[in-house]
Amino acid sequence: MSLGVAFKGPEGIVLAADSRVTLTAEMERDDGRMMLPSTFDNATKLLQITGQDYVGAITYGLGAIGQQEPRTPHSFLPEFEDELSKEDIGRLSVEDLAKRLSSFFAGQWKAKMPEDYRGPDMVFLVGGFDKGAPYGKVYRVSIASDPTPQEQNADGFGLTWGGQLEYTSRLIKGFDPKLPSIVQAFLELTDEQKSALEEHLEGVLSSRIPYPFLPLQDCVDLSIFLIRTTMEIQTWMVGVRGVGGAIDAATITRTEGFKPVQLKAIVGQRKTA
Amino acid sequence: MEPRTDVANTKNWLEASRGIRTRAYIESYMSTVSIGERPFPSGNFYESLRTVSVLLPTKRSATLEPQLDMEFQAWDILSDEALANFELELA
Repeated sequence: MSLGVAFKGPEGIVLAADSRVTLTAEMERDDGRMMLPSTFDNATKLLQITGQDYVGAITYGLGAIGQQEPRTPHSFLPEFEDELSKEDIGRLSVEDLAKRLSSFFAGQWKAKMPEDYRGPDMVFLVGGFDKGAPYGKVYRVSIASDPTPQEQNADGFGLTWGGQLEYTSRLIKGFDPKLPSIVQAFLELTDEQKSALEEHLEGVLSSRIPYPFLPLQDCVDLSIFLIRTTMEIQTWMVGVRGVGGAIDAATITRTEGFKPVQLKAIVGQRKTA
Repeated sequence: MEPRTDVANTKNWLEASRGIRTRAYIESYMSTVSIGERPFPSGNFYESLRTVSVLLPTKRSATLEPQLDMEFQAWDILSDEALANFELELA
């Protein structure tokens, strides 16, 4: 399920994501169907695109495309990069790259996913800098339900997060995202009242984080902290432990482009205690 | 479980901080050292500085807001009064 964070700060963009992918196998048994979840902690969800040095992406939601031969989004990158390099297009704007990424993965989805698929989307947060632009941009692309890039925090600075987002939302917004719906059902509120309640709760409970003020290092620290917190709390809880493995993080700035801050490395045998 | 996307931004900060007053204070009242002329024109300047104390002209590096300046003065007066009262009680 993952947790991905994109921070649009005044000094640059921060992209961070965990490394866990969960594959769930269904087995038929005499007494019914059994679900077998398996986690893999070395997936790469922070995507750097060769030849596009001022943009990057993170992914969350559905971790792989294809039922019998599932593949992670990262495993498709060589094909995507090959497609871009053949056209010799130079530096793309963030929106154009988001559109191309969306089109590429929508094509893969159409080719490999069943038509009656019911489940989460594969979501991408694409962040970066347009040539000459003073501040970065972040777009959200949801394959397959909403493939058109939607700009996040277009009018200012802020955080976008997704996947197993409840603990991050509790910390940042001050309440679980399910709370307004629970209160609506319990008190039989109208949709307008629910929206008003949500807005009010955000106003009074949100963490006092001055997004337009934060230096890039603080944006990095906060992004990693939010993923780490979800990861840690899941270790004590019964439920879907969808966030785990190493946290990969990178910054994208106007002058230096995509710059990894921390990336997991491929190693040999690990020491055992 | 549907993955969702959530956002927080400047609007959240403005709403959440509505009841508090935030000001970017100057972190420290640092003076800028400026040397108008070399105090030891003929000698070794750096060697001399190690052994001789030199009074250097200083000036403020930043202009303080008038209101902040008044607050500093008020604190000065209050602390002077407190010290005087303390000394009076000791006597």
